[in-house]
Amino acid sequence: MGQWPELIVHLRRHRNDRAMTQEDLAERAGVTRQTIISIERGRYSPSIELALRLARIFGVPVEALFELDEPGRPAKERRGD
Amino acid sequence: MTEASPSPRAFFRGVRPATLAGGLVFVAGAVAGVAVHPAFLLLAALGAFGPALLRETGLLRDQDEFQRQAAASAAGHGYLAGGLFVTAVLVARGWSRGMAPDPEAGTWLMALSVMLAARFLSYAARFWDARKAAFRILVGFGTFWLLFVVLSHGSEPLSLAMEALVVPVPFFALAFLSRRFPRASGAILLALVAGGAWFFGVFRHRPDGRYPAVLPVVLFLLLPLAFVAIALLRIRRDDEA
Repeated sequence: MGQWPELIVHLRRHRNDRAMTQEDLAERAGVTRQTIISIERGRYSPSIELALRLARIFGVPVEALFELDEPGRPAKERRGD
Repeated sequence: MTEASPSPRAFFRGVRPATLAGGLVFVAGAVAGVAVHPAFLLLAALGAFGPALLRETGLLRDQDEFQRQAAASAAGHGYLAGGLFVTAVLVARGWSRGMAPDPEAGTWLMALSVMLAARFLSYAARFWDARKAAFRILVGFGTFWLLFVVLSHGSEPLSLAMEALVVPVPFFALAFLSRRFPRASGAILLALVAGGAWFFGVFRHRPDGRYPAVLPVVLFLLLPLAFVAIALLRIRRDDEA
């Protein structure tokens, strides 16, 4: 299997922009808070269904929450937010 | 908006009530099984495997996808730890007996064989479509038994018809029933497996340690059928035809 680009997660920024707690988001998405924490920290890549649910909660396309790393991107941006 | 604090409270909030209850039942059953009566060990087994069995059969849906993934990964580690532990105990027992034949080795080997077979079957059921796999396994079983009956009663038409009705036909019937009513077929099959385990004396005490005698029955009959039953039971109601 080849080396695929890393997943960058912007969930925390969107959550903070809307002054939403992890608990609130977890409740609205129908998952546990630990799941939200794990997604935000990049420890867990959600299913397509959950990613779409999260995007719908924020009213943004799923690409605004998750994107694949591009070669040459500065390390600071690569970490996600 | 705060980061998660790894406090005991946060840990217990992440544990499902069924898992917590199962843990308490396991401890109570294990203590009572050792101190009061071995029958209480059934309670320990209920606590240890009850919540997982309920989740596997789809009767308990209390985990989100991250928890399910963590549980699947933990099950893999449990498989490795359990298998390696059983192997280590088996080797240590043989060593301490000066490599003399171990009368209980069969029991341990049966546990290892069941673990390996269960892992293989579980992988197959996950990798291929459960309904198709169940249909093919049931038709395969029916065909195998039909050949067996034809070979043993080929020259006696009446016996052939009677035997064919009793043994292979139910497998074919269940195979076709499973396409339309997977959950009901799964429940019937699970009852048949339980009846088969009792009929073949799988759990009968064998003081001579001759468990390998029932091993082929477990590995090639009961275990595959139990997996088919569970795979059918797991098909969601809204997926039924």
